[in-house]
Amino acid sequence: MEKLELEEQTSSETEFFDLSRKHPVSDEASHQHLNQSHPTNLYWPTEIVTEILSRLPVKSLLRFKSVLKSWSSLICSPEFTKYHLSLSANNNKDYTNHSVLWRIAQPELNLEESLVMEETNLDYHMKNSGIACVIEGSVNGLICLVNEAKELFRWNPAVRKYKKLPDFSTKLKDDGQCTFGFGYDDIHDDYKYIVFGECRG
Amino acid sequence: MITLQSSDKDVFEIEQSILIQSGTIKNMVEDDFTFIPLPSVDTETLIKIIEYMKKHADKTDSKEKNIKEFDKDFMKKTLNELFALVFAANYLHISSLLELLYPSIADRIKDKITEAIRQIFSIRCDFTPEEERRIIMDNKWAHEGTEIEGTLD
Repeated sequence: MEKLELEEQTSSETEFFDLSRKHPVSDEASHQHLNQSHPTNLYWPTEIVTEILSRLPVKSLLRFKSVLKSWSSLICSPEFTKYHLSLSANNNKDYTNHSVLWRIAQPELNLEESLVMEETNLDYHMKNSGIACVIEGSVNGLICLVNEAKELFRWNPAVRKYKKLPDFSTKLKDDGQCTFGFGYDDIHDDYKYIVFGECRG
Repeated sequence: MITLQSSDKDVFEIEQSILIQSGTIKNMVEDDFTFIPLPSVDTETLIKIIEYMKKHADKTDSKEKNIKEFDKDFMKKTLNELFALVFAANYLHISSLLELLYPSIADRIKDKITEAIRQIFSIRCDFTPEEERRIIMDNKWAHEGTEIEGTLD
């Protein structure tokens, strides 16, 4: 009898948060029904939080960094990033997540004639700068971009962040040809960028 | 037969062959326990756990489609019920149930706003208003979108 009443209370207490509202709903009602359902509601074992968070899409994870400091630390940790990546790779046995990215410099390419399943327009920091850039490689969701000024950037479209890499163009001959490589070194657990070019002098 | 006792002191007699799906119970059975108290699992949750284990005990090929249907329906519960199950399944080491619960819970919470997550997980924010503002601004786009909502279930 007691449990039946509880279920009725639960459904009537579902509160809706208007995105413009900042004040939380009265704690009493929601905490009461939470308390009854699982006695350890205030203590969440790290392994359970980790396993649940590891199955969230990136956008949700970035939003949930603002929930609690320990959640923010967990989400930012390299171990968590690796685990999250391994789960999303393993859950994608038919490789639908492995997108083919076309060179940005050739927007007139007709995608209908290729084996593209889905196309998306991605925003990147140099998009409206008028500076042409190309994709020189991608691994684990990171993309290596190189622009006309031979500046290298590591771009993560999923989190929408980029990082400029140390300048190498001073070591190369002006107008020299360059070839690039980008990959993951799992022995040193680091990403490596390789530039083949003609050096000065 | 093994006897399980819930935190509400209700007892359930179940065949050993069904219960060994729980790593915790399996270990206790190997140590010759036949009465197993479970002070952190209430009756309501234990009934569901037993229902799950009974269904999954017979994993012959013919039952596979049946089990998949059952699993899909089994996840149609309130978030609080799923949380109670994940705590119990974690304690009892029932890995197949955990592998079912984790993505289901993640899917249910993925579009919620920060404050709804705090209410659902009974978490009190430990950021200062300035820290919170900064962390939101750092990933502003993640807090925007028509899919984002604030229900507590």
